[in-house]
Amino acid sequence: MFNDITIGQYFPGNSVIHRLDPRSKLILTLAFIIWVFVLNEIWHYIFPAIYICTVIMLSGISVRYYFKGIKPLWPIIVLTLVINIFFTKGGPVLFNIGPLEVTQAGLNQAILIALRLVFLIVGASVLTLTTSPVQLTDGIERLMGPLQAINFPVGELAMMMTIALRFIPTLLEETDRIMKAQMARGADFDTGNILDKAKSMVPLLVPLFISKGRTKFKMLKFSRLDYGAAIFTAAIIIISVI
Amino acid sequence: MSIVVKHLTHIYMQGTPFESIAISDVSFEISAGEFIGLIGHTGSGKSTLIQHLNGLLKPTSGSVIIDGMDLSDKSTKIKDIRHKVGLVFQYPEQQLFEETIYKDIAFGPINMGIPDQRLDETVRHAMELVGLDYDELKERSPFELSGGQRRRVALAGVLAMNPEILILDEPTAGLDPVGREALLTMLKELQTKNGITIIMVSHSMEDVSRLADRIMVMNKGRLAIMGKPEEVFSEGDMLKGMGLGLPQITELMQLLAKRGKDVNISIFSLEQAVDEILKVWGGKALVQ
Repeated sequence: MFNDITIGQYFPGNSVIHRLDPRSKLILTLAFIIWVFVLNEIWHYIFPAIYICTVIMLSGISVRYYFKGIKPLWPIIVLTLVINIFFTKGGPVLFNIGPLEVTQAGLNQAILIALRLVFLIVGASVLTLTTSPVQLTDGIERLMGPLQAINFPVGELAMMMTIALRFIPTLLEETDRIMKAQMARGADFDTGNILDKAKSMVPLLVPLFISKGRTKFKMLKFSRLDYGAAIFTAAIIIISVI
Repeated sequence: MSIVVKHLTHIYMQGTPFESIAISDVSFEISAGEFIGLIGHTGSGKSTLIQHLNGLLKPTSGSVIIDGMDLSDKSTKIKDIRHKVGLVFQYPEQQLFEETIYKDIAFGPINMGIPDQRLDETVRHAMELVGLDYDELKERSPFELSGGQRRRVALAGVLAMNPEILILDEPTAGLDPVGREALLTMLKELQTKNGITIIMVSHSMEDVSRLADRIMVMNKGRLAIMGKPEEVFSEGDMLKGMGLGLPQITELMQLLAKRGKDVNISIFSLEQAVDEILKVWGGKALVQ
């Protein structure tokens, strides 16, 4: 069921891109993203396109995978596209849709933004698809090493990332299991409008995150002591203010 | 409701380096009212197979036909199939999610669109089937119950949909002997009294041989053998080759036969074995 989620998924291999040091991959990805955002003419995007196509070919991972990574983000891309088309003013008016005018500048801006987003996602996918989570956090830890000088908790941050990445598949597995159990009992996650879909997610999230006995080892409870402390503190504050 | 499976193959994550063949070219037929025991070593494809029977997984190739309706057919309403084919997962108690037992059991019937006034009755009936006290337990949280009772709640949740086929993935795993015995007796009753077709996945040869009309053995994604218990257990060596054994009592009888004693080897229970041994040796029953 969750086989299509490729964000953050590592695709084992032994290509040139796989063999690069994670640090260089991180820096190059960052450079690529900056490059993509600095370009201002649509036709200039030929260069990053050629660059990223070469990298994709070298990575030995099927293009299908990169597109799968973009798929869940289509709504966001389309939304920014629409907003930019209609709300950027300037240049000659091309045509009208109701009260909204579409201008040359708006169209340009929209295409630019959409291109940037697609390149951003594909660029980041190259990094995550060719770098194992362990290598990735290792790379980040080393790159951020200098920050230790100003007491930035680099090690802890890297540890947090490793743990978070580690638990994505576990959480997906658990979600998959609960979804299947509910589907077997007639729950419907696939049809209906967006509101129906959102509603059907509620009984799914309940056992996943808040049900007692599953993920909470100890339930928190307010006792008389807590209320006492609250009243005491409130009283002191009020008295001091008056 | 009959089940027909033709050349079913399922490959997980096809076209990636994680690709794995879970089941390949499995074909069989199950008729209405049968009790089928499905056994096989861990990873033999049992769980994958049963998830095809109510459309939770789609075949990579091949077809599943429930009561004449092909599940891969676009016109087949999978939701209706899921109401008729009840699937109880392994460790069903982990799949409870509502705040009260009543709500949890009512989840299926509500999705089926059962009117509110009949809901109480449906839930009560399902709880009675699994031996739970409706009035005492309906407002309690399922998480307050013991493992065995939770499993009954989960089972009631499926039975409340009044399925015609009931599929259970290792229903007795982790239960104590008493709970296990009660559950098995209940399943057999559901088959004989209510006429429900049952497919039970199990590791225990003893349970399967005692309850099942026919046994399916899965090995490495293939259906190795399917037949009556005596047919399947006559292939003792083959079963051992798959990491499975015979019921201990059957094995004992087979050993006796090998030593030249004239005993019936199709024996699956202690009582039958005692009778048979006494008959052959000509003694009298010590325990009546």
